[in-house]
Amino acid sequence: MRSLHRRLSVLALASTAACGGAQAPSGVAPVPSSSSSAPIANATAPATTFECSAKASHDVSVLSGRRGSSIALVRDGHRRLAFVADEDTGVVRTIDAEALREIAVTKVDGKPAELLPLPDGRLAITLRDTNRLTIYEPGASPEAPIVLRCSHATRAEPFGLALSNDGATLALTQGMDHRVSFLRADSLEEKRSVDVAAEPRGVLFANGGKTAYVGHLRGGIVTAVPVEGGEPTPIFVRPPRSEPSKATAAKATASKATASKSAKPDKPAPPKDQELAAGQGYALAEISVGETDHVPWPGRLFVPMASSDPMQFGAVSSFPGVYGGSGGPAVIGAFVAVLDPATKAPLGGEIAKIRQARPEDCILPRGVASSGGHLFVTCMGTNRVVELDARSADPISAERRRFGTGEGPTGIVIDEAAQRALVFSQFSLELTIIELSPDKKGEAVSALPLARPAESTTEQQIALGRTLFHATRDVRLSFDGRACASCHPEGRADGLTWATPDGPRQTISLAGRVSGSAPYGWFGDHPNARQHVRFTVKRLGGSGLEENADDERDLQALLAYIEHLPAPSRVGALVDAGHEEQVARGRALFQSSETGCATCHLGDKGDGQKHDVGSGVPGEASTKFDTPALRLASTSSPYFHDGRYRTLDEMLSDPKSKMGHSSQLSAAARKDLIAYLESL
Amino acid sequence: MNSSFRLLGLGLVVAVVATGSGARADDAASPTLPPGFTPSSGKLGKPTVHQTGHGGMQRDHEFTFPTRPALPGDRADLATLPVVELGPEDAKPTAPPTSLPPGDEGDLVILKAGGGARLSLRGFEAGVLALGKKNPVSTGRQSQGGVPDACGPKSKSSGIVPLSFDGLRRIDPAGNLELVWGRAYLDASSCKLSVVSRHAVKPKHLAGGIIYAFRARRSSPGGVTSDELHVLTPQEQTGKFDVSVPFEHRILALAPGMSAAFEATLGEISSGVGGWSMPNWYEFVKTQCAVEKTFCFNRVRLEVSQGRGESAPTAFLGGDFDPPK
Repeated sequence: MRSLHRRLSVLALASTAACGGAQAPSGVAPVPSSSSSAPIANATAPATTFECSAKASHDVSVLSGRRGSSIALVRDGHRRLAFVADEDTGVVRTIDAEALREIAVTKVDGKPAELLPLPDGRLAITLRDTNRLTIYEPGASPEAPIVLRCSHATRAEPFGLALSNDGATLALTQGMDHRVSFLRADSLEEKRSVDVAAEPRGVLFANGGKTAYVGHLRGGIVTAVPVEGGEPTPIFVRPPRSEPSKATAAKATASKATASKSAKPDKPAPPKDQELAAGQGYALAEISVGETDHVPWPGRLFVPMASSDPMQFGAVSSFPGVYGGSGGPAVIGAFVAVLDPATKAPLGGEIAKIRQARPEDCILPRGVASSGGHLFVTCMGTNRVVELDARSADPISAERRRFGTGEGPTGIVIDEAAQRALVFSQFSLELTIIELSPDKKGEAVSALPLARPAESTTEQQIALGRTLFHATRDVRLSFDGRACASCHPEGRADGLTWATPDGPRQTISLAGRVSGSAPYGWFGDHPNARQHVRFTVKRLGGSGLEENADDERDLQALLAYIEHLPAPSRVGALVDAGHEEQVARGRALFQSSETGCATCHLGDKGDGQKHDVGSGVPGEASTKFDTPALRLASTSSPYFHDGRYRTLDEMLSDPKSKMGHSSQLSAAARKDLIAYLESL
Repeated sequence: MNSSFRLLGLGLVVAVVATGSGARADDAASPTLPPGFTPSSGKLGKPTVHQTGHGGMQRDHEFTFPTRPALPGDRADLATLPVVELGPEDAKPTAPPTSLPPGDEGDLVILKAGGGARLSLRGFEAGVLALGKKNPVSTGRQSQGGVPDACGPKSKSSGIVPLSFDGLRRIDPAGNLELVWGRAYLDASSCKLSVVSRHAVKPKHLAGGIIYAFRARRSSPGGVTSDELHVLTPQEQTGKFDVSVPFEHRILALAPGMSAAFEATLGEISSGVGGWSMPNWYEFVKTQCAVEKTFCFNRVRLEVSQGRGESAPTAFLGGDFDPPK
């Protein structure tokens, strides 16, 4: 009894140390090396090992599994509690899952992306904007705020969390630093950090806990990362291309024949080797679909994603009227990648031939939960939860039921005891309750409004803009149900090059890059963002935002949201040693006459002029392109208007490039220059 | 003891202050909130969704891109399906032989009338014949249909022509069927037939009888075996054939690390071809179509998949019917 009291006292004091003065550590701590598995020095986190590692003060059992989400379910004593990570308001909400009542709201020191209750009662929370992994524990009673135990520095943009099968290892994805770190679950000491592809998000341990699987915002892959050592394996989960029907194929052939006759001989053809792409890999689930002698088979992995066909079957021979073209199956479609953990490969095959991409299903998937062999996927944009059959090898086409939710659904958890799904809707700040039992009388769906801070008029306008940015079926914005967020997830870039009426164009990242970067468009034709947005929705086949007062209100809101998109947090609380010196060397190179970069790029801004750097091809409307602002350029790969360079290094080392003089630089000097560009 | 309690008290107070929260309201229904937050009504209601879009054009859009209809389904039990062993002789020949191999005419028949020789099947309520590279054709219970002028003086074929056949017949009032299928050769000059492979199986009916299925294990000369799922359905409404046939015989590969599937739309037309449709199918479609008379389509989807670590394939059967129990 005495020791428990002492521990509670210490914990409470520790929370004071961590956030009592509203001064969570925000400094940048150097790490000795960027190698993939080198241990990193501890950062400025003030927590002692004890604070992070000690068991929580009272027993809590986890009901929502070993994967992080924006919502989790625990049993605390006799009560089932849901914890909700609310990124908008920077709080963690405690909800009585039985009484369906919000009972506490705790301010945390950043924007919580995911939370994961640990079996010993602690609550791990990633704070995306402040680059911290924090450990909380439930308060003295469920109605009390959760209590901070420690705060741990991470690399840039901590997001996804998962706990290994044995509970000993915590996996943490870090988006902008494209890293997956494995930490000791008790002390948060880093055991291993692995470089993976861009924008990792959701993570899940599978294969008996030996492998962590990581979803990505873009890139069409899921990465399998061995926990104990070895290189990560990117698994290409590009969805299978449907075979066009005979009629469609004949039409396409005729169209190509016509195009080849009428096209100007100097008209450039977009690349034809581009595969279907995929992204939006926010969450993963593992489900075993059978058993032998009461032993479950290894679980299959399910990753809800969206597919993109930026080059329309890879066979666009003339410039289409809208981005990506308008023929064939949906340019953007929903699908669920199914992976076989034994082979670390998609469970593919003939399914490809019958797959139908449909834009309306779930093209902005965010959260996933499973129950009884069924997948429950939250769909932003349509504000739905779709219930899919996991025994199907193409689950998106085996939809069982569909439920409405509040706006902007992110996380979902299944309360098996109550036969309910609980969904957090980030945009409308609601908890949607879905009664799953078909025998349940009354409404299947209800929503619990949650406490909220007062909003200014501007904040309300931005909120409306966010809704529009994610609206997947607004005919004003696109002809086929695409949302702005389809190509600009989180306001960023999908990493693809699209067929457009002007030729191939790579998607640019918007987050933190719109304000002050006029003119807009690759030709710099639009002096302000308003004109460019109106132009863009037309290019998506939308009817436009110019009809009436409602359209004007919505356009203003969309602009407000785009201009206020938060810039990615590029520098984590942990950085490699010598990073600042490297950036300084790169800056000097950038400004030197040797490279000539600063002739047109004025720091992170452009010169507002158009230049012909030999990148245009005959047939395009112009070969002179607006000097792009370099602010946050590293978040907007690939590079050049047509995405010809996948990386900054490729771009700077091309001896044929007429832009500046960088191919002669040594590899080390180029790294310095890249470090500077990435710092802008 | 006293000091412990004092420390505990101090700690808790500090924790509350540290998190910026005010004291919890006395009312048990009010949550503990940080400063600046307003509690919600706490009442359950309908989810809040901001309606976007544009009137009539929005409706057009939703008509063009309709919501995908649900496809409820369930697991189909493959373990209880009958299994047929197939040998090398069942493999499709790379080239026809130069002379007719030994064999009899089996279930095939040449009907001669008016100088023509028609190839058909006998003893089946419905059959499908495919001669050479020609489209498949239907046969009926009195050997109607088939391939006209398949051989003899009026035939456009010459030499030894390969053919495949499938015949279906009811074997009891409950709707159970027997499928006989195989391969044969036809001497286009002499009209002699030689069946080189023949199998008979009583497939199990699934999905209320709209699908019949069995498994086959195929052995190749090298000793390699492969498993297959054979599926019989009415002809798909938007089928692959340019002609009407009373049923389709599909084969899905079963192998670890693989998946295979078919999805078909079945309707009144596809199940009533030539009046030769199997009674079970007709009844099934008639029942389904009693609900929706204007456009009557029934979707069927059957998938098989097997992970490398899974000891058996999983079959998922979905569609517009009551899922199998």
